Amino acid sequence: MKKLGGFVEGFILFALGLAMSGLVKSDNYWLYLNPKFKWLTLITGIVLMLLGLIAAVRNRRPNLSRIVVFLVFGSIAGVGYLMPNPTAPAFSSSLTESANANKVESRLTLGGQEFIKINLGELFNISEMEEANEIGEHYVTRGVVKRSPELDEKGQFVLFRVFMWCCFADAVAVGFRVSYDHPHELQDGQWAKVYGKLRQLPSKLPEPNVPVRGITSKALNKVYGIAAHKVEEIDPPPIPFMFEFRKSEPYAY
Amino acid sequence: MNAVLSQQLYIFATVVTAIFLEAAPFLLLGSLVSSLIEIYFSPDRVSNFVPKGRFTGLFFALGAGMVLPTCECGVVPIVRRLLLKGVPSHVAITYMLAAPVINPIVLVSTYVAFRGNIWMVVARAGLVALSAFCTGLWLSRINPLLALRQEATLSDLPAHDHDGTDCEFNHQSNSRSKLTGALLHAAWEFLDMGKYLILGCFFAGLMKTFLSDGILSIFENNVFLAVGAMMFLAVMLSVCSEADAFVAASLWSFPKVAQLSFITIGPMVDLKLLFMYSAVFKKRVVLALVVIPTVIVYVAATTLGMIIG
Repeated sequence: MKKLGGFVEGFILFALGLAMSGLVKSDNYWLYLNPKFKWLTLITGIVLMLLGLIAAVRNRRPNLSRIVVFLVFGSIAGVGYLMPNPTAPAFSSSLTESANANKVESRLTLGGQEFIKINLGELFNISEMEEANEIGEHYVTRGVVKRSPELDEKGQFVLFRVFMWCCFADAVAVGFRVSYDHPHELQDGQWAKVYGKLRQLPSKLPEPNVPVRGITSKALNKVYGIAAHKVEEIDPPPIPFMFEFRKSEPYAY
Repeated sequence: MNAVLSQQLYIFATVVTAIFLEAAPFLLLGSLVSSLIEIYFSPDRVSNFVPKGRFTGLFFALGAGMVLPTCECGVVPIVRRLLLKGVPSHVAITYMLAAPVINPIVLVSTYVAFRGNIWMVVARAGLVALSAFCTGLWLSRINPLLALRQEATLSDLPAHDHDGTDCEFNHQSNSRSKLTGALLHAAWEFLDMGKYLILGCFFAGLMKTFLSDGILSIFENNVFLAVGAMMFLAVMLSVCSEADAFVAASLWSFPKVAQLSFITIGPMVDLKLLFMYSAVFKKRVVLALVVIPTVIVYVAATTLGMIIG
């Protein structure tokens, strides 16, 4: 019995290592962790497979509670991985972004005006730099539209995008209020591309009630909003989360 | 399936998996280091490294924390092994609380997250070092083996203070056998500590899934409530010490001292650690590990809040 239990524990470790290594190769790694940690997950997976093989052969000290807890964890992780993502369209997509994404032009031209492509996190950084020249530039950025009746009344909506530093548990929704004449034309939860400039907000604006699904931490800029020249509804980008902030052009966008 | 339930299940499963995947490499590293200590270092050899005096031992532990970075998940099995090897409680405990924060990697991430605010870095390191020092001092009179639960010294997790007769390999054997033994120990250690890590992940996942993002904002205008709310959030979310500064910085409607309390208490006391502490240490030690840092961080943060306004 001990031999069988030891083998099962070894098998669990091996399977865990195999699953971690497989996740690195899958299109869904970014749902859990920042892709910059792929190498760490891969090494861990390989070492766990090795430990699993040794434990399967040599382990004579199995423990039922360990087996049960790891099996329950495996079931939950498996269900989460296999079930369709119900938070669509905010997070869902398959990883099809072009490998040449960084070679794309860093600016767009609209009506003769150049707009710098930037992600919401990078724009947030710029808004926090006092008296920076960049504050006056024209930008184009992307995110999820969040509406509420009180924002509609003011001709505003909130544009959010999720930033993940390490894992999904520490993900933060970074956002700006966007001044736009026709917010009612936009759907709540729709992805949009916003062309505009940063504009200082009146002080002490009440916090709008715009929850972002699955994200506990929100950073809505209270000093600057975006005065929109144009808003376009778009499909979610291949990787909807932000993983990178750059301090100068070309921005990660 | 009901759409809301389906969404909650998805978020819960994703959070639990994400926290485990984030912590697993550090837990594995801790398990490997712990096993190497077990196999290659005798108690005499280990004790030669550690200063005999109480205060020199405490400062030694803080210094070790600065140069030997470990994650809060990985450090628990290492400290268990050190205690089994006879390292004094105050040295091991101080190292365990301080090392996940006062190392260069975490301090740089704090500096980046708070956009170059060096005072936040200094305050974080200082407050964690103070909490670790005081907790270590409080526990300094406890015999290292008596700090551990009996199950943690004898159990399925193979502590080798026995004569080797009940062990799968011979401790006196050749280097290949020793290495295999170390890897087998690491597997045991990972499974054993991993069990408690997973339980902590389950609770953190539940909190993350069901905690409304608006609920904390009602506390943000009062420094006493704001510090308490942020400490509660840090314990519940169980974010890794390398990433927690980014979460705290994002909660920018809270006073700076409340953000400081978040990044200070989280790496010393959180849900996953509570499970791991409870598996390894006796109740009174767990109580000290929770109460002393909590009181110090709360009092220091609120006092600082009143001074700087």
